[in-house]
Amino acid sequence: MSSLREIEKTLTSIWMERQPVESAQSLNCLLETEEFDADGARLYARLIGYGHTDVLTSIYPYCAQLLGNNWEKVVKKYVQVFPPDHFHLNSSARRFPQFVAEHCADLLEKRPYLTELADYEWLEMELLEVDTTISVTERTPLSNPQAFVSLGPKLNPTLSVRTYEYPIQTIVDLLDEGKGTRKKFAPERSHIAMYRDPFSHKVRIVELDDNAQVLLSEAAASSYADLAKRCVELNPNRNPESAITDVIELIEQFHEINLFVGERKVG
Amino acid sequence: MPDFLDTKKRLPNLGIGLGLRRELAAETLESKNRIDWLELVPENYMGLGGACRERLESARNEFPLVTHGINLSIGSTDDLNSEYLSKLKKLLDLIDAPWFSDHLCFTSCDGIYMHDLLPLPRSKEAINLIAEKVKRVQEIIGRPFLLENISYYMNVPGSEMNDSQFLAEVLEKADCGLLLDVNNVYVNSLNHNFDPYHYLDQIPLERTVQIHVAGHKQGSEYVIDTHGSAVIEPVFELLQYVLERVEAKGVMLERDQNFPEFEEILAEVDRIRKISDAANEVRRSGSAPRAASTLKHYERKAAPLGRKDSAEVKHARVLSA
Repeated sequence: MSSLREIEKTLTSIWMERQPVESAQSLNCLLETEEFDADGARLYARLIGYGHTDVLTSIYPYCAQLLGNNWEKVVKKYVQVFPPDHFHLNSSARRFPQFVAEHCADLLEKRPYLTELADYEWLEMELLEVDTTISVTERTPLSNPQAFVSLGPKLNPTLSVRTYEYPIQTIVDLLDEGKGTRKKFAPERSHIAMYRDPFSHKVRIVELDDNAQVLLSEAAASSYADLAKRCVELNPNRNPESAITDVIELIEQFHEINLFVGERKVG
Repeated sequence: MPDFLDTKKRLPNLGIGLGLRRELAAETLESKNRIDWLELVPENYMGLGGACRERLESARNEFPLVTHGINLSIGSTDDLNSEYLSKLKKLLDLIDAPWFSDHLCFTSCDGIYMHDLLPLPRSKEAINLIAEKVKRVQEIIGRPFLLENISYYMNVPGSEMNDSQFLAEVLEKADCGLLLDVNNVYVNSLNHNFDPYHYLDQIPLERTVQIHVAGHKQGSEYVIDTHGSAVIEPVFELLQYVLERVEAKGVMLERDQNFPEFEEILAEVDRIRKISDAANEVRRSGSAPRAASTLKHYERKAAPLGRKDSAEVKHARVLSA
C-alpha cells in the first residue's frame, strides 16, 4: 500500500507537470479494479498552471507584453526551475528576474534588458507589500540658514535606488503606450528611485540623472548643506550659486513627492 | 484545551458576515448596518504593509474579524511551517479573532506550494496525521480551529472511505470545529453523484461553528465552486436544513469574483439573515425541522474544461492580495 507521503509526492509531481499522468500507475494503492482519475489530475494540473500564469502576469505585465505568445511557455519553465516555495502567493514570483538572468539566454539575446525589466517589476511588487511603517514628520523651511546646516533629510524607508544598464523607464513608458515590443534598445545607463507613498500606498517611480542619483545615495548621512556642497563639486563647470539653487529645488521636490518624509538633526 | 463542544458554547455569536475582498473593501467597510462581521484570508495580510495593512486596520476598527486560511496545508506530510504559524498567530492576536479556520486539504509537498486546495486520500493514515497536526496548531495558536470541507474534482487514490466519513473522523479525532461550506457540499454532490442531505446527516453537524454560502458555475465537465455567481435556491435550502438542526456562531457569504452591484451582495447577506433567523426560531421552538429537498442534478458534460472556466476557478479558490 502506498503511504500518504508517496501519494502526495506523486500527485504533486503530476500536478506540477514534473511527471506525466501515467506515472500514477506506479502507486500500489490503486486497486486492481481502480483506474487513476487521469482527467481529474489533468484538470488540477491545468488549474495550478493557470494560477502560476495569472500571478506572474499580474506581477510582470511588461515582460508578459514583450514576450507575447512565448509568455506562458516561459512561465511554465520558470515554475519548473523555481517552484513556488512560500505560502505567500506573490512570493512565488520573486525569483523570476534571477530565472531570466540564468536560464533565458535565448530571450536575452534579442532583449538584453529583460532581466532589468523583470527586476523593475518585482521591485514595484515588493515595495507595495513591504511591512514598513512610513512616518512623515514636520519640516523646517530651508530658508532658515541654521536649519540648512543642522538638518538633513529623512528618507522614505521604502526607498530603493537601482542603476540599470538600459533605459528601463523609457521602455516601460513605450510599452504603456502599446509601443516598443519590437523596438531594439541600445544600452543607456539609467537610475530609478522607487518607493511607496505613505498616504496613497502606491509605488512611486522617479527617474534620476547621474547627479541626483549621487545626491540621493548620500542623502541619508548628509545635512542639506552637505548636499549643496556635493552638488557644487559634481558640477565644477557651473556657477555654484545656480547649482545650489538647483539642489534646493531638488530637495523641495523630494519632500513634495514624499521621497523625503521629514528631517533629522545632523551632528 | 477543553472538549471542542464545550469551547463552542463559549464562542460569541457573530451573526451574518461577508468575506473581506480588496475589490469590495470600501463598500464593505461602509456597510456596518447590514454586515455583522468579516472574514479575511490571512495570507493576504500576514507580514504585509501598505494598503493591506491599512485595510486590515480599518476593518478591525469596524468589525469583528476571523481568518480563513488557504496555506496551512494541514493534510501535507510536510512539517507545519513555523514561519506561517508565527505570522498567523501575530495576525490573530492583533484582530483578537474568536476562531480561525483553514481547509481540509493539502497545498504543499516537499516545500513546494501549489497554491490550490488539493484533495487528500481519504485514509486512516491521513486522519491520524491531520488530527495530530490540528492539535499542534491549536496549541500553538491558542484559539479554536475549524476545518472546512473543500470542493474537489478528482478521486484521489488510496481512499478508504467516502467524503462524509473522512470529514467526520477527522473532526472527531482532531477534536476541532467545522466550517461547513454548504455550496461545496452541493457542488460535490453534483460532481460525485451523492445526496447532499444524506452527506449532512453523516457528519457531526454539532461541531459547526461557521457556515460558508457561495455561488458556483456549471463548467463544461464539472460544476465549479467559483464564488462568482449568485447563490442558488438549493444552496439556501441546505443552509436552512443545517441551521434548523444546529447552531452556527457565524454564517457568511463568499463572493470573490465577477462582482455585481454591491447592493446585490448585500441583498444576499439579507437573505442569509432571514433564513438564519427563521431557522434559529424553528430550532429554539423545537418545531420539526424541514425535511430534505429533492435536488435537481445537473448533467455532467463530457467535453474538457475550457480555459476561461478554469481561470475563474483559480481566482476564486486562491486569493491574492
